[in-house]
Amino acid sequence: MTNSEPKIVAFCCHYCAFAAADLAGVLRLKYPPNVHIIRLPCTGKLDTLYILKAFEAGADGVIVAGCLEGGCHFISGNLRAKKRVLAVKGLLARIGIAPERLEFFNLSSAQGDRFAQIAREMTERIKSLSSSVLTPLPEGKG
Amino acid sequence: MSELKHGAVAVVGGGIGGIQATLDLADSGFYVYLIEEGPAIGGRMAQLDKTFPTNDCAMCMLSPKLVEVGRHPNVQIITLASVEALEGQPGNFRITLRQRPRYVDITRCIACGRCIASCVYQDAKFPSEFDVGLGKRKPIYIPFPQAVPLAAVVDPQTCIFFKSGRCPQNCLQACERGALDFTQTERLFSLDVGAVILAPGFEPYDARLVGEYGFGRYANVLTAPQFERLLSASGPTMGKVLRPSDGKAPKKVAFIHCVGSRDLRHQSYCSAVCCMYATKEAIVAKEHDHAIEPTIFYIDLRAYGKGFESLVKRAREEHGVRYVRSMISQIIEIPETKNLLIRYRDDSGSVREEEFDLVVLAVGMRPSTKGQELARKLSIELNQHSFAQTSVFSPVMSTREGVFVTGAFTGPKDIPETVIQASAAAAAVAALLAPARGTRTQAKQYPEELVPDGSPRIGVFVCHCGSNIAGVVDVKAVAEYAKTLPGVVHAENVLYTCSQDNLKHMKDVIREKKLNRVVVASCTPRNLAALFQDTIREAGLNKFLFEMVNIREQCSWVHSDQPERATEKAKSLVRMGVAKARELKPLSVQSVRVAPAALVLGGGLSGMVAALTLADSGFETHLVEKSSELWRDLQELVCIPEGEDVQGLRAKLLRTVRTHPQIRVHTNTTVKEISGFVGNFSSVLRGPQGEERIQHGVVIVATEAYEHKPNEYLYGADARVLTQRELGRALTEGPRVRAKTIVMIQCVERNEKRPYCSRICCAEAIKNALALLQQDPNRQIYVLYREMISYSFLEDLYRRARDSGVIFIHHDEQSLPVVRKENEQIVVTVRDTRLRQEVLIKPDLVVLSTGVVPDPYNEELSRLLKVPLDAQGFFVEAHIKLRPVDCTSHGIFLCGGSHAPGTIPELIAKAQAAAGRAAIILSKGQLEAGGIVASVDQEKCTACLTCLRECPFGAVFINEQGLAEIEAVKCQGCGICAADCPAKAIQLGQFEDIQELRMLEELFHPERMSAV
Ligand code: FES
Repeated sequence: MTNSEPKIVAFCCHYCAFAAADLAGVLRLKYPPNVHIIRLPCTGKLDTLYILKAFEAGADGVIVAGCLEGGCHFISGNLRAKKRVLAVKGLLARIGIAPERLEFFNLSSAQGDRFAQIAREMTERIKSLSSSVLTPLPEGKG
Repeated sequence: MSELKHGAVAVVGGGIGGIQATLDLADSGFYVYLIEEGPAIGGRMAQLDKTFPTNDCAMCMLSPKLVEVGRHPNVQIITLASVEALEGQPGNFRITLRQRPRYVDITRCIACGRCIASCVYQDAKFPSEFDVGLGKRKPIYIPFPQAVPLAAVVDPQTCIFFKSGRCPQNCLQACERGALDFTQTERLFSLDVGAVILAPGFEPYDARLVGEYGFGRYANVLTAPQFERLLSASGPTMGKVLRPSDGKAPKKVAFIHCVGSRDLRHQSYCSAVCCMYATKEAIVAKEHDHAIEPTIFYIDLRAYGKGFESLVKRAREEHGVRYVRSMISQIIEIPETKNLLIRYRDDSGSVREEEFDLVVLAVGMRPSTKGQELARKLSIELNQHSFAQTSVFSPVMSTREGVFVTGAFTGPKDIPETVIQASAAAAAVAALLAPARGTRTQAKQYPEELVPDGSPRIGVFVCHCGSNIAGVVDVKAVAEYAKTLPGVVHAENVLYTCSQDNLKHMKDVIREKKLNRVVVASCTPRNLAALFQDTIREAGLNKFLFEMVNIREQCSWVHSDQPERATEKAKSLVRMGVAKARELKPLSVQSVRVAPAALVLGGGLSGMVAALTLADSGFETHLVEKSSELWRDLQELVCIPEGEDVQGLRAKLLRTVRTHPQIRVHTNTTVKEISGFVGNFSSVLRGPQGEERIQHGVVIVATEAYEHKPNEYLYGADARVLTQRELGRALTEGPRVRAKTIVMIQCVERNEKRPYCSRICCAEAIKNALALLQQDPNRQIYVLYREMISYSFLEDLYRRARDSGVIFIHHDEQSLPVVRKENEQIVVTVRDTRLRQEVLIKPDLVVLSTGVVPDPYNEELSRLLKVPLDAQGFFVEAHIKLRPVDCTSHGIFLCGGSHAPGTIPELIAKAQAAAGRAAIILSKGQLEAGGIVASVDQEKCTACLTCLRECPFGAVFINEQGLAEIEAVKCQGCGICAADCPAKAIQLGQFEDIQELRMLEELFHPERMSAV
């Protein structure tokens, strides 16, 4: 593949974010093709390991998108996920990955436009960061 | 009576009420014809952006239900149809329907929109019904993106072909599926059904009739339903609040309450929902655009339901919504700016003027014309407001036996009340038709499952979806590519994967090529995954050996401008899907037998109604009451509606409950222990005869709420201070009340600790005041209030009280009335907001409306059942809008005051609804457990209890080995525990870590794909 757009993984919960992504399609909105969606039953299923694995596998950015607060179909899944994302952001900073490459979003299934907008904004945001995921660390670990 | 009863039911009206009734019945063994006037089901709720009081997204809640109805094997949706006649008797009706042509074959249409794009009208130019005229549509259109059935429809009123006969009919050519059929004609046909449920809903009041507000003349005056569409992300402005006159963002937005309601020139009743929906719209508008300054003009603020009060508080305090108690006299448009000048009289009586950029009219609910026509055709009676006539004791029964009514057809109400009534009506039908249950439904038979041996043999089906996918993505290349992936033994292109002929073909391929995994790359799994899973199951595969890849909504439709990259993306997505498929495991679904009995806790009105409903449906019911008598204190419980024979109701209920062969009454009994889970509870009852263990499949909590006993206003210290209940008793049983001057104080001790509205006190005060005046018209009665909550038809009673001379004095929440004694004379002082001064009254009787409090026994029940109470001690429902009588823990249901205060008809409907929901489980006989559920690897578990803490459903327990285990029946499959387990001991079926990680590995590194 020869394109310079950042590679982004979007973990979406089945009930809202994934449905919003579907609606973006129904409304024929446009966003960059390098955003790849992985469906989870709920963002509560999002293991912190998946985020790290995504970066390790070559993602330039990770979107985690769940229901609106109070709207999670499993009551507290999105709240758990938000906490985990925050924790991983801290971890990323320590290992030299800009935490802005990871973001948590709440959206309802009616927000197709919002989904497309998030996909575009994250792409822009990551483009504006330095080109490589890993800013070189002085010594050792990465 | 052994007459023939049909096991099928007609539900008329496809809004949320009709949908709920349909699902309840279809899930409990009845076949349902869901009859809808319009081209799609969903009703008014589908048009809402958010719902109060939680501001949840309406479509997020509704859409899964639409899909469920659409796919239900026991439901047939009949759109564009109306009822012509109903003959026969309960159990054995024949209903005649008239169905208008759609001109589109819904079995062929795939909602791709090509017909719409090709229509000779290049621009949409007809007002869209769904967008309340704010958006536009063409003569051929799809009602809304989530519509069920999801298919185009032709409107002959606007279609050129029908109007002039001269149209090139581009749509016919454009359709790749041959779905259009302009030869369709109207059809008249009949169906045999055992019962009918009418849920035709309401109509918003026509704002044009309230001339002084200028709707229809002033561009920037909108109705609330229109404003709702402006707020919706999928609405005409994509969720932007813009003025119709100039497309600019408004700053000052006014909401005007009671438009068409509480007004003898229009409708005398209160529409019950406007206060809250306007508050919601104000908040959501503010959230969409921070610059907006919402002002709400209201007469009384009726925040009487669960969670309403806190929404209003949030609106005021967090969102800066301004509330002005006022009477609007006129709105005038300023010609230059198209701004609107509102002239109103404020609290103190002064006339003011204020300019706004946009005005939203909170229009009330009126009985629908459809409903009135239905009533006429089915010969059921309407009340004086033209809503369906029901009685206080049978809130969902029409005046014709076997015909039930629900939702806004019976009077203005919100979504939860509608859902409760729908479940209540379904329960009543299920009881009526109990002998016919299961006679019209069929259980599908599947072949025995093949056990997948060793290595994966994956088949990949790449869909063209006509040109929807193939027009952008090089689907041939994707299928060719799929063939090169490890584990894939078959890959092909299909024109329409979902077509009947392909489904058959898929089954043949599975058998021929001995496939043991299937990947379909087509549209969203949200709609069709279940269909494909069912297909592979028919071919003998476990339905979980399936993965669906979305290359339409999430690829071709969003990347049509970049076909090459869309093709690359489709390949990546297929590669990921195949990677996951290689790791898929069959998941087993076990059937667990359901103990066919119910436990009802609480033997008051609600408990008895719930028990009777269950027993009439044929299920053994244990009715447990801790005191010595059923429904012991009549007065304690609820406001007794004027002129209703509650004594008679009680006597009748007692008689039927006591003699019912399916009911066992346990008085003087408490529950010592409850264990088990949905379908299989085991409880120990402790009664006068000692302890007894019972097995039951469901639990209904039916404790009641009681009148609060206050500490202030001299209550208990002076015999001239009574509660409303005490006065009510004195009025019916004596001693005769002699007082001449009476003060009633509303909302006594309603404070931060008891912030909720008890719903019944205003009506009770009004009723008692009227009774006092009837005894002696020369009495002086003052009612001191913060808000008069006389919602719905109670408004008529309120008006009567005012007309009869009862004086209502409004005071602020901050300046509460004071009651003191001066030389044995009681003196009440209060600051009257209208007069803006202190008023002094010397009554000889003070009556306190103290509200209701939940039964303290709830606390113990909450512990035993492991279900939560809210801060006030009421049980928490699973979902405030759509599952109002369910608990989050499956198999436990709520009614009575255990859940929230209510009036007698509300409590009866709630009890019937809870019983009906419970009967769904009992009627199944078996429950499925397993599938996408979490399980704990006992070797890895360190008993850290994280999962136990985090599971929202109480599905985790600690087993005899001291390790965590998950009750498959209770698990909802969210995966929170799996993600949180520090030892990685928990896996969620279908979403195992290895499956997810393989997808990630393959996403960007195709070359690694054969690595282990
Ligand atoms: S279901 Fe959407 S975040 Fe839980």
